[in-house]
Amino acid sequence: MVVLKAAGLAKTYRIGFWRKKVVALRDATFDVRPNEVFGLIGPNGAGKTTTIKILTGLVTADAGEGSLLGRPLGTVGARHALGYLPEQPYFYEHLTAEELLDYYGALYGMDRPTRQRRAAELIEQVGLGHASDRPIRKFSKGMMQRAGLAQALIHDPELVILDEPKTGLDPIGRAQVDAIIRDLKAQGKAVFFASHILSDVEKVCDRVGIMVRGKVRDVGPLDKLLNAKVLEVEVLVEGLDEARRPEIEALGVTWERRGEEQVLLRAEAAPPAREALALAVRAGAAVRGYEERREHLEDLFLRMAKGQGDDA
Amino acid sequence: MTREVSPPMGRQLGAIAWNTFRAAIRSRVLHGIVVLAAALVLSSLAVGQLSVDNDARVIRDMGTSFISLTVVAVAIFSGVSLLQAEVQRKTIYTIVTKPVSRGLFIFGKFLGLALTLLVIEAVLGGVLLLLIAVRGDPFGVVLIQSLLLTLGEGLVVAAIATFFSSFSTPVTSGVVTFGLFVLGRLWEALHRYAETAGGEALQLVMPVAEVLLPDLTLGRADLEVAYLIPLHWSYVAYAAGYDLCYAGVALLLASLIFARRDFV
Repeated sequence: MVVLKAAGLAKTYRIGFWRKKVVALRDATFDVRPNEVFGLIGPNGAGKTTTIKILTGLVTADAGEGSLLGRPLGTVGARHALGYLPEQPYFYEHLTAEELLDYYGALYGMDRPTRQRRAAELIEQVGLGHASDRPIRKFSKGMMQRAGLAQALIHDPELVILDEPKTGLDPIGRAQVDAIIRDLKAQGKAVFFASHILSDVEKVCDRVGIMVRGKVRDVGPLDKLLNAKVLEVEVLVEGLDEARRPEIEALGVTWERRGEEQVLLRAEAAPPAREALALAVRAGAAVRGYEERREHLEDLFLRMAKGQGDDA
Repeated sequence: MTREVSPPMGRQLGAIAWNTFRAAIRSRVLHGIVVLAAALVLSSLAVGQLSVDNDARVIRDMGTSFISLTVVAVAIFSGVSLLQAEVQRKTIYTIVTKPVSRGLFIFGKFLGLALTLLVIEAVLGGVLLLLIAVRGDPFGVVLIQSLLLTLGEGLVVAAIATFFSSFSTPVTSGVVTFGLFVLGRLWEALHRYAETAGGEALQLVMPVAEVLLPDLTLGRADLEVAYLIPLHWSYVAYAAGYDLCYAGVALLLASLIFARRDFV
């Protein structure tokens, strides 16, 4: 059983007076499972937001199909199981946060006591307790984002779709979003999370989909997608004489002086770095740091983007 | 937590209508319009003084005309932005992604606007009736009937504006709606012109125009108001039925168009 299934979703927009075709999405195929945080990453213009708009029923796909808890995408039944935070959300400025959540709760068919209880809980959870009776027109960007997160959760949905949820948030807000996502996962909910900030995705996602030029290139758990190979090793030593430099560089290790005393040795693999380290220790230098850098999500993403560029 | 697959439509409709109405009554622009309109209704008192023995008639005539113009103006301005404001401010993103059909959303928004028009008319009508009562002028049931007809006209104009708002920009929608309002007010004159002086082309166009153009002359009772001649209630009911049918069809078409839109 999957919570969300997308198979071959595609969308071409027609823009301008001459109805010029712009391909926004070529092939979005992935699924989101229960109790999972799924991240969709890609550069600006990759097709993430178009994918989300198809999933939420804002836009109709030209091709492909999808379902949410077994119900076809875009139907009222599918939307009932969904909570959605748009990128840079806008709300009715004449309402307070309480009124806003009450309104959205009513659209889900919730009765008044449930709406009021849930609104009060969420306002506290997203950190808007101090501004619950303030009109939204007086909200900052970060407060708007928090209100958006609260409205996405008002009906306790099975799947929460978050489009760039940390935009405009301060560090406290960002940590709160992480906590809410973890909390949703702990409750057995599924979270679909789109972002171009890779560290955000890396921190909370169980699986990621990498989207480049309208196509989901690869989907999987982060540890499976990331190359386990060491990409670079850095050794920081102190008190190493300049006379040792030719020997070190002969190992294929670069030499970079850092201030008066320190030297940064950098190699593309572990063996030469370790040889250089041993040489430095024998020469009486003190080791101040050793770091093996493996592939991060950012490297993977760049690798995929480059591969796609080569394909084109 | 409530977990119906299809939420109660009545609750959704009520929530959308109430939110639309609440936005209107909290709008300072609307407050300004109502205050100005009330001042204009009261100004009929001064204009009435200029007439010889006809001041009561002038007050009734001008008062109901100002109310009618205000209701139509608010119907056009609010109607053209009813849907477009949601699209342009992107609040639509958080509505159509909820389990709400787009048709229901349009009907809910329209219901909120109708409630706004009703309240505006009640306030301005109250000012006029109070003025008449304070002066001790004769009162006739036709004044109430005229206010009801004006409300019906406002609903038709609001529905036309909503229809154009479902696919066009506010400016275009406003211009076209105003044009249809003018033609609708001239409905009988156009009809007479086509019968007497119109060419063959006009004769061909008129049957289509008769169906498409709103007959807004049904909502006018200027002579009856001026001379306090009561209308037959069956006429009021007929006009109301016509207005509701016309508005209903306009909203249905708006729903069909809106349901096919992509919100990019």
